[in-house]
Amino acid sequence: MADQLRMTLPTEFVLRALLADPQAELYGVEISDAAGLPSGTGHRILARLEELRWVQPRWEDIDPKVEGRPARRYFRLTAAGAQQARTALAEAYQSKSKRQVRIPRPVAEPS
Amino acid sequence: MAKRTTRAAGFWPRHTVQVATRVLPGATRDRYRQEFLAELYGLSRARQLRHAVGVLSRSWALRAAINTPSDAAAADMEIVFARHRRPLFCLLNRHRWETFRSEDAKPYRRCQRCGKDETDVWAGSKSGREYDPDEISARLFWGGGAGPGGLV
Repeated sequence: MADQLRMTLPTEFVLRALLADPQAELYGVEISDAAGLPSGTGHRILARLEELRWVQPRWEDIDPKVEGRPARRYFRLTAAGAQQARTALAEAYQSKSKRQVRIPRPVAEPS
Repeated sequence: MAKRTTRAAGFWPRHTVQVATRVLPGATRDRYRQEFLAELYGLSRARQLRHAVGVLSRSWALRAAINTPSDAAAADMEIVFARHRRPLFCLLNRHRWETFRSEDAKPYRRCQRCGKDETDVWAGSKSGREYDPDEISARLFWGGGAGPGGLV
């Protein structure tokens, strides 16, 4: 699957945020903050990653009356997802490194 | 009476989030509504509103992401996510230039934010100055060659 994934910058940011601690469970706002993305952007990426089964969502197990707030939906990388995410990020990094090597542009000689 | 430890969601953020989830497919609408509402709790009032507006503005993109089947999710990821808007400063032509070196060790500059390369206006300068507005405008006007002012 990872070889089919064409990584984009926001996706990279989300994966890096999740890979910072693969065992940690984060909810939407925390992920967006960690990734440095504006609100709402992280959710669609998470929807994709969930579809790919790279992340495992889980509803928080709390009593809303005690906590004074509804249960949050937490996301965590699956074991396979973490591995695929690392591979995809490494490929994206290599691809970027190749792009950094530019073909020198010809400079017009003064006539 | 249990003590509330988190700031409750305000009316307008809650309403905005509910409007945002109306465009989502019926099967996932309630799930996202609960998720977005829960995320509002604990945020400051201003942050709640910003978050809700952000969710609203990207609700159609979320709908597209949800509707994409799993086998196409990987292949289509770039199509949905590549519409990353250019930063405002870059739109205003206020780039954050950073110097890189090409294979032949010649320096070139590229914007850190949007990845734009600096134009060839700078190339071939013999003035020794990196930014010379007169020279740049003259080069743009005369097509990069020698102008009447003996620029090159």
